[in-house]
Amino acid sequence: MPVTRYVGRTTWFRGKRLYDILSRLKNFGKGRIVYRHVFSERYPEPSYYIITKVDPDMRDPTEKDPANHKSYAYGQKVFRGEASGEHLIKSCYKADWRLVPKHEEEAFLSVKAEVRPKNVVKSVLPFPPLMQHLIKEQQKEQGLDDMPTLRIAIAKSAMNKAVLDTEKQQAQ
Amino acid sequence: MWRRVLYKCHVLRNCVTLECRRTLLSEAYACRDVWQQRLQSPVLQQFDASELAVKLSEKFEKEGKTSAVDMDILANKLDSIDTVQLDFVQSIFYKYRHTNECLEMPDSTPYALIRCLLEMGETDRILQMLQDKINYGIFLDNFTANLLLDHFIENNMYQEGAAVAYDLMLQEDFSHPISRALAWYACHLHWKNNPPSAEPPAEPEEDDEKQIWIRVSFIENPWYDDHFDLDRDSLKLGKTFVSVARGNSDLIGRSYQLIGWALYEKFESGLTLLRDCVKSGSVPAVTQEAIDQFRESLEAVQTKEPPEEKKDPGLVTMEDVKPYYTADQKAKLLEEFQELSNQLAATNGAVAQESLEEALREQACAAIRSGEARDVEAQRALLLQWDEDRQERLQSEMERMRKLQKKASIEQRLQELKAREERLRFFEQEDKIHLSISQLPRMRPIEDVKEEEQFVGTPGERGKGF
Repeated sequence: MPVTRYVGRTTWFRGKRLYDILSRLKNFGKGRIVYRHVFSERYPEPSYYIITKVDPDMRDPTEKDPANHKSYAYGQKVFRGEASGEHLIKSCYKADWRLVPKHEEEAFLSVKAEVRPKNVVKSVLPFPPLMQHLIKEQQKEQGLDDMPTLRIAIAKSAMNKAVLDTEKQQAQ
Repeated sequence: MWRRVLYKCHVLRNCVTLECRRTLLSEAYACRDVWQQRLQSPVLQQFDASELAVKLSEKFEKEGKTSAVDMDILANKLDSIDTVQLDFVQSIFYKYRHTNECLEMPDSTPYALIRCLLEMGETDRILQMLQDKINYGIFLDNFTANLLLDHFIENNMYQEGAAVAYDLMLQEDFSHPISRALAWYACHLHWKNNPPSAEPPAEPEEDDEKQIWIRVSFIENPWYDDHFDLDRDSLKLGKTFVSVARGNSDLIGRSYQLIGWALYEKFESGLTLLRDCVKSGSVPAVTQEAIDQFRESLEAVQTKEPPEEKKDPGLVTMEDVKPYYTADQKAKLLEEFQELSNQLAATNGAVAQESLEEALREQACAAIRSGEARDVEAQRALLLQWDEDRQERLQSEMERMRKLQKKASIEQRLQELKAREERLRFFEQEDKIHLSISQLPRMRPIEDVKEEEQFVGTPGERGKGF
């Protein structure tokens, strides 16, 4: 038999495509726990999904054709130990998914992650040096001498969860 | 004279087999009356199975899909179909699985499919469809699992019985006590009667000189999940024993866990179990059979040395990522096992000599005795409920079709009216029509169209559209 040899870029994925797992399970594995291997390697906190709803493209459910990603699923998302409700799973086609066996589910869910410290940012900062210099010059001309300060606003997003120190004090 | 003797032997053998064939599930479990009653319902009476199959096949070709209720009716009418047509029907179920309509498949479809095929004696087909989950999506429920297991055990079809148990193992669903007990018993019978060979199937010899190069954007790393990827029968049997005996901490539970770990080739777990037995000093701890099987499997396990240099990612296959034991590890495991088994043998009565077949059969019978009546009731209710549901589904489906037809006919009528209006009021609206024609986007005259310059790839890349 001739040797088949693949040529292409390599990835760190070690697992199955999500619908490779889900289409072998009764009811498309609703209620089962799946996780991405890459995230389980990268972070000490658990990251996983509990499947709630499926939306596969049954013409090619396991997405063998890499140019055709049309299968999606929905699940209760927990990322780095933080639950964030039901989300669409877009990366079903990545061959990086693993299923948690039913008898290990309890142990898997009972892993408690340490609460990660939040990135607290000062709400008021001095101006950058050049700006400071320019402002000083301006103040001198106008005969004033109180230095204004820079107010910080955080561009909050899914990736940026920093908080201002004033907000933190209010929360406490 | 010889003929008479032979005849006597034959009679004797028949008696023996008859004696062996004590039934597990009672006749009432199948709920034959309610099951046959479904055929009397008006929904199923108005269709002929063969005609329906042909119609559905045409529908798949024309529209590429069909509704879930049609497939449900087909599955329920399957026993009136000729056996010759079953390949054709199977292909319809294959197509059905590859449309998104299968997401709405009611529970009655797989139930009816499996039951009809079982009554027709098409057990090979059932197993084929059950094992190919991606392409058929047929899953067992508690009742069909019990009926199948019972049928296979009673007809001494151990391999098939074990295959049903493997299906339950892959679904990790041993929650139903009767299914669990029957699956356990079926696996035991398979293990006893067809001793699994530990030899892996011979690998085809690779011809290194010939290589097929396939270009992909990303190389998919093969990964062995130790569950759906289990290939050898002994591994599946082992995992089934382990999961079916999980939670039982008595003699049967421990013994079959040990057999399971041995066949599943997870010897560390087996040794942990033995160590616990020695520590707790429970008497009897495990059976002699289990220890023999463990020794046999451990001695027969294939060893492999870790590869000296890493393989190129494009050449890695599933075989390379499977877990394996090295010769050193095997020797260590054997040594430890010898020590533990000696300790167990030294303790008086720790190793039970009896076979557990009777106990397993008794366990199955006990589970059936306690749960059968409840199951029969539930199954009857479910069958009646499914009949009603089917009626409702069919009606709503027909309503939907009617609406679609009505919509199409209204649309057509509107078009006709529009055309007629244009014809009747042409002179009133002449200006408007001319204006609308002049406002149409201008077509480019053909002589203006020039062939655009085409991109030409480097010689190596020509003819490959990436």
